[in-house]
Amino acid sequence: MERKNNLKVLRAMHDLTQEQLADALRVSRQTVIAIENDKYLPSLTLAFRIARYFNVNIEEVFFYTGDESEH
Amino acid sequence: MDEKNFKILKFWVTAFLAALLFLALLRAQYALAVIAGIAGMLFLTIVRSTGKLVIDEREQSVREKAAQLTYLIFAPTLGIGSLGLLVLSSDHNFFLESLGVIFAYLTLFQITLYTLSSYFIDRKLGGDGKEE
Repeated sequence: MERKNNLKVLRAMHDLTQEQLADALRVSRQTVIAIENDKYLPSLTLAFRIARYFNVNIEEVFFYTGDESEH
Repeated sequence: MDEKNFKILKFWVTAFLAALLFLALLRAQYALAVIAGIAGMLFLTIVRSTGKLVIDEREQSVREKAAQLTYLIFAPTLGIGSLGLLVLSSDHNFFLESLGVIFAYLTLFQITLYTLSSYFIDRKLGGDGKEE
């Protein structure tokens, strides 16, 4: 099971730079980059903040690929 | 941590390192002075504000992991060092024996501090098992 996210796609759809998104979410640009590259798993609070910002469900931003029974 | 608290922390760490450097030079402990100078330069270069927001949750996580790693290395080093010095110091070598005793006290202080902080943080994060 692999963790993925659509943050880069959503950001591109809204025509936002990493800096603009970081300012809107009140995090650093490095954090946005790290989340986009799956190097940092955000807290539930930040994950919800991201989903709310793009007006989508949290599962549309963060999701797992593959079989859930896999470990 | 906001920018104000970060500046306060940075000031106190810098002040400590400067005082240590000064005292080391005063007591002719040149190796200590050099190490204090290097530590100060590294601290001022690496630990700095990266933007408008000083620390967000990722940076907080980085600091927590860095602190954890520091403890993981420092505590056993101090503990093993104290045992080694106490075992190896001969009856006439009071300097090594004293150093071993100081290291042992520091190790005990660290263990106590870890136990207490772990207990209180666990309770704060719901580890007391109380039902609502």
